[in-house]
Amino acid sequence: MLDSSSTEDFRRFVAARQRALLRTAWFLTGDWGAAEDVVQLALVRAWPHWSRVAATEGGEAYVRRIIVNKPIDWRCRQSSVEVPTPTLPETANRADGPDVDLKRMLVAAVRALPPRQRAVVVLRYFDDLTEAQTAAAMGCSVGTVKSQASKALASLRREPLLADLELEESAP
Amino acid sequence: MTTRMTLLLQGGVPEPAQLLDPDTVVAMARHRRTLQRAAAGASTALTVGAAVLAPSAMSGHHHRPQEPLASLKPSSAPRPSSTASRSAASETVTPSSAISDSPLVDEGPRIMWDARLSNSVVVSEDKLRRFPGLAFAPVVPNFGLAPLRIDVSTDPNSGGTGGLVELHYTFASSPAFPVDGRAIVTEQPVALAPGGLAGLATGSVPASAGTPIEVAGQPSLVHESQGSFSLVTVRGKALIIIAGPAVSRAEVLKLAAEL
Repeated sequence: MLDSSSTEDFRRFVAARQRALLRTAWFLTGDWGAAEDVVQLALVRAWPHWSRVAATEGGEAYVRRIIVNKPIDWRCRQSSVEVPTPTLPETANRADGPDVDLKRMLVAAVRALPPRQRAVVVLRYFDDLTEAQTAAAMGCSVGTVKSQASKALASLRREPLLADLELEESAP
Repeated sequence: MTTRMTLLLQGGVPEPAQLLDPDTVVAMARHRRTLQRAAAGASTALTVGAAVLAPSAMSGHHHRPQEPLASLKPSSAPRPSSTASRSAASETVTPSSAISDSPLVDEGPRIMWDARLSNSVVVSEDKLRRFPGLAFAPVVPNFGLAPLRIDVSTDPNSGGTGGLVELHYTFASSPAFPVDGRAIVTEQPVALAPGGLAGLATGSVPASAGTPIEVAGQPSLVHESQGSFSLVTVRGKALIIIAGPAVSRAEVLKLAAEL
């Protein structure tokens, strides 16, 4: 059982970071309900180990690792019924101001990527993790992250609106 | 260095319409841990919601425990998505059971209905109302008879912070209680509005959360497990669970109406 200080630390983490985690999970699952489930389960699974993971790899990295791998597992099982849509269904988003069409197209294109490519793009570019952090979150090698990112970016560049967009490879 | 792609993606992803309640997440984690311990063969009786679980269940009563806490994410308020989006979402919602790594719940640990709460004390109705350390105002239902026993525990190991109360009633055998006349009302603090219960049985919420129903105007969830019914509702800051070894649907609704 966690001591009270660890539990309080965990509560603070949930309060402070769940918004970011939910957005990541939404990107990976494509649905707010599924995102809530995934984040909720990840947090529930992380809690008993919070003292240890917070002191080692970091609590957020641990939770993110659970979040990333659960949607991938699920999407692989559900791939036969997965129907990517070209438009974002949710209406409450931050895609406003300049580049609104570009943002929406980019998000929709990323959501249509195969699960592992999508996970790499979400972690590398949306969460702005390094290649090493992305590899750790996905439980794969840095080389796999690079190859998946390369394939993903190539797919994104095939989208008409994104063809002229410079899809940078961020620093490792 | 943040790239333009990062800025575009971060600007293109919507904000979550619902946030999780940290206290509820902690309560769920404790609940799950308790189930694991019980199923793993812990020798101490462990409390889960309305039920006290132990591997050496008594009386041969097998019961899949309801999981009210495992589903208490605040998902009741309508999301701002369109009907079309919810329709699309229904194709992609992940059932919790599909992504949960805990088969223990589905294995249905036996409930030891006679076991006591961890570090609990037996109190009178009057003392219950003045009991220190409870984060909610306990309700003592009038079911036409006084509770046979009232247990109170503020031990966090028994189910979370804020205290846990169990009121034990014993009714005469009848068609409403065909096997066992016991009903146990469990009360514990929860950060969920009564209306939030309705959202538990929709969308991504696992079926084990129960079926939404209104009892005396109060949103509730009815759950059946292996022939016995239980009901979950919220009063103020308290999550109230009515359950028992063998309670009929009619009886659990009747008891809920008298809360």
